Amino acid sequence: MAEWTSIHLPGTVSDSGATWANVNNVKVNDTSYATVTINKNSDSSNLFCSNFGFSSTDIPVGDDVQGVEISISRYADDATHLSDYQVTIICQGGQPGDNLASASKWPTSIADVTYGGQSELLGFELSRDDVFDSLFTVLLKCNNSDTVSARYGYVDWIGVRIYHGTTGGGVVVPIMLYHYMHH
Amino acid sequence: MIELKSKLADYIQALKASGACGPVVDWHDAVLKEHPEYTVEDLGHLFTNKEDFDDGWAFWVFELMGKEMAEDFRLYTIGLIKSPKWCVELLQTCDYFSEKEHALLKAKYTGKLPTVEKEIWDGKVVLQTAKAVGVKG
Repeated sequence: MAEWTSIHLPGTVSDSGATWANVNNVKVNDTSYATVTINKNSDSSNLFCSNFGFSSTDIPVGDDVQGVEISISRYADDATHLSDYQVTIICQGGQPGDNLASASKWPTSIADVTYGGQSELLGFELSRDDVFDSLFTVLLKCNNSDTVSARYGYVDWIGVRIYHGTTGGGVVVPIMLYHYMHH
Repeated sequence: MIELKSKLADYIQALKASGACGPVVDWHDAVLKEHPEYTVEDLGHLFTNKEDFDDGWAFWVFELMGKEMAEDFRLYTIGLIKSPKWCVELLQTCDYFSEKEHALLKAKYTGKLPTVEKEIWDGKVVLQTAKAVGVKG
């Protein structure tokens, strides 16, 4: 049976371009926001969050990583144009994983949304070391479908929860029962 | 209807009639002044030869004047889109795509946006319905 960690916030946040401002506000759940300005019918630059600080205290030796859940607390300046473009993870500095972006528009008041979960590995086979690595990164990119005006997004915090446990444990009991019943 | 072989001047007229903003029209006028012989297809090549070509252009042109675009222009523009997310945005926004265009756009995001596909399946995100024939309407 899977267990799960608490939600960890990033220790490091950076922007690949120039559309994000005050990116370090994403590190803390405190209603101080990173802001993104996206030109009309355009995408934002990438917001990279890493250094989540997972350790053996969170995921014990012998456990497998079974799922990743990403949480983002965000809102936009209007209800009809700003949405996710890419929500994913990057491991060991490699290629991004599956894109968990939603097509729902960002709300106009602050709200948390979660992606992935108990059995979502975004196309990776993740180990504890992958998750412990300071390069384990969440990537957020969003887009503005307004063809007339720039739009603004606000992110309070981005967090990650890891689901973990041992695999195969559930098989042992049925096999033992089988032998017991047939001897 | 604006086709790929239509003159750039006619395309610019259609942009103006559809309400394109001043700077966009000015940019197109400058291209026309330099290349009066250009067709819409030539303009497309000009865009796609740019390293920083943005899929958002396709969304912009469809939303602005999609109903004025002939099928060959629409299919060409769909062919330029690489981003699965912009395909979803188009299918959420534009109500005039033919079944063929709808299928092409759907094929570009299928298997690439699991959350979006679940949202569509659950009815949380609603796409526009394809038209039986891709004409004005």
